[in-house]
Amino acid sequence: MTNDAPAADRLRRNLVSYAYVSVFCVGVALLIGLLNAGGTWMQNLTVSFSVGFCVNTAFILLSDPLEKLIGPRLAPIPTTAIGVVAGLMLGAWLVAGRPLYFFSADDDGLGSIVLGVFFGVLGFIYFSTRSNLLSTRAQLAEAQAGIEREERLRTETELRLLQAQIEPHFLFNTLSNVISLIRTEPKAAENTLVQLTQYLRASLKRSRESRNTLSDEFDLVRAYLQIQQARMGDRLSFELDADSNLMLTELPPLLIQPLVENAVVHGIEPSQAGGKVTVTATRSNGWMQVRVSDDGVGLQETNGGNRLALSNIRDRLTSLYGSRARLTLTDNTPCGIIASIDIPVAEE
Amino acid sequence: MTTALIADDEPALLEQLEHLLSICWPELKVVARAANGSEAQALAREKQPDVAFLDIRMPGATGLEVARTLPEQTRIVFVTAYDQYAVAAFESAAVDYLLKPVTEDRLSETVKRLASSPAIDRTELTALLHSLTESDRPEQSPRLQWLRAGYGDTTRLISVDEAICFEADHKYTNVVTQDGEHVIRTPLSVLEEQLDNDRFWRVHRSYIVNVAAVAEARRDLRGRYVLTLRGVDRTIRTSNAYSHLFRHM
Repeated sequence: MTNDAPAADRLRRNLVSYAYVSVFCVGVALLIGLLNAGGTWMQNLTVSFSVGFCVNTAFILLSDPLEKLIGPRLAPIPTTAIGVVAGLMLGAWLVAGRPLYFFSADDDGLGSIVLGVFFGVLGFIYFSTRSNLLSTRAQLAEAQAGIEREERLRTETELRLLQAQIEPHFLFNTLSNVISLIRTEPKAAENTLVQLTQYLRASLKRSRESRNTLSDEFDLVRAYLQIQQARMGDRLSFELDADSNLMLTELPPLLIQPLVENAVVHGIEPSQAGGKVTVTATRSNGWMQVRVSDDGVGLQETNGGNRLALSNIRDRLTSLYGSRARLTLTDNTPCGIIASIDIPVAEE
Repeated sequence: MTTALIADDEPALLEQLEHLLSICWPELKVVARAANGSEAQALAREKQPDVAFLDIRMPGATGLEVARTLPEQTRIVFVTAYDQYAVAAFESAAVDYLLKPVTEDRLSETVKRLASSPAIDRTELTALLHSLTESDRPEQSPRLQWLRAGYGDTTRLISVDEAICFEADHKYTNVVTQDGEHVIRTPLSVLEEQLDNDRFWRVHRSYIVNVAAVAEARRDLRGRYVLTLRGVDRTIRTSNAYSHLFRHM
């Protein structure tokens, strides 16, 4: 549908232009009749329509190639000339049965010349205005694209602010654990602190740099999962796996981490037996798919889960990729959730 | 001898609590350690402890749910992370609680209080717990949040927030979202009862719309409304019967 839209739009514009030209031609025929330049009303109308339609058709067919050839400023001149000559020939053929009537010695009246010049000038004015209009439209579209870019930047800034806020519950729980571990398992306490430091550093780095790779994102997710593992003990296990050629692929920050957080907090934590979180990134045909799956408690139809995080991710995908990226949630078997993000990536 | 049950799903925190108790309350005997809510309930029934230290956020059953099933004579101390809403309520009802991370000083205070003050009125506590667990689930019949659409052998989960509108299709319903249409097996009339009626309006015999997705409501000559929807190329005409919904928009 999206592919047809510009073509349909163009067709509509062209039809509208013929309608305008028709009104214009009737006016011109009346004017020439009043000036009494010679010929009957019907003949004037016929010639007028021939020239008008030919000029319009010439512009529709020839504008683009001629603009490429000699530039948008000069292009209307040959286009108008071709249209006028073709139109006069068509008109003469229809009225007198001889295409070259207006260009031969038999043409007795000034009328035809006046008519031709009249049309030429008016056509030139109309179409140069039209081409100005088109370039104004192009400028407008560019300005809109600029606004869109700005909006995208703003979204990104907001996002950085969001990232700077580390979820307090997570921080307090982690610190409580570290305190508890110091006496019994000082080594584990130390490890957890190291991981927390890595996690905070990675979060801060992401809030300052706009470039973010899958490898950065995996580092962050790994640190997060290790910390959660220290808290939850053997109730949580995890696996991270990405095609090695994907590690330097750029992707927007904070797409994967919230999904992993969801999987842990809403999938594994509420489960008495615990479970496993698996994060994979694969590439195929210009698409990267990141999957975060867990075998936790899954979603009840009326259980909130973290819909806010999901709708944030969805909004960001839309603002960054339009409709080309998507977030899909499916049930995992035998239990749990799979969240997948599909993003277009440049082919190598 | 005083006996205690301690419950926390994080092993390190459970161990730390036991350690601190051994310092602050040497006479106390920890008779049960539970790693989740249901285990705590079972152990409490079996051991009939004098005191229970309960973490609030636990799998199986929350600390609040466990408390409601404890034997009458068991004194309760809740252990909670920083942001847990219940703290204010505990304070007002004079229920003992500890904030994580638990410190020796704070725990000593709690021990003193447990030893000196008589047990608080259990009916009061029950009422409090009742209101807390109810506020956890605000509605009697919770609103539908997730839709399940089958695709071959996978089931897609669609958040109701994603739905732009629902369209009746015989016994099934088409869920229209930004990235396409999904068929679910719930008929429109059943869906209407399950959805939050403040956010989803039945505007037509065959349509329910997500109010947030309505970009424009234009009135036609017959007093019905034509709704333009955000995110999809689609308009919906309301039935006369439902037009009153838009009169104040």
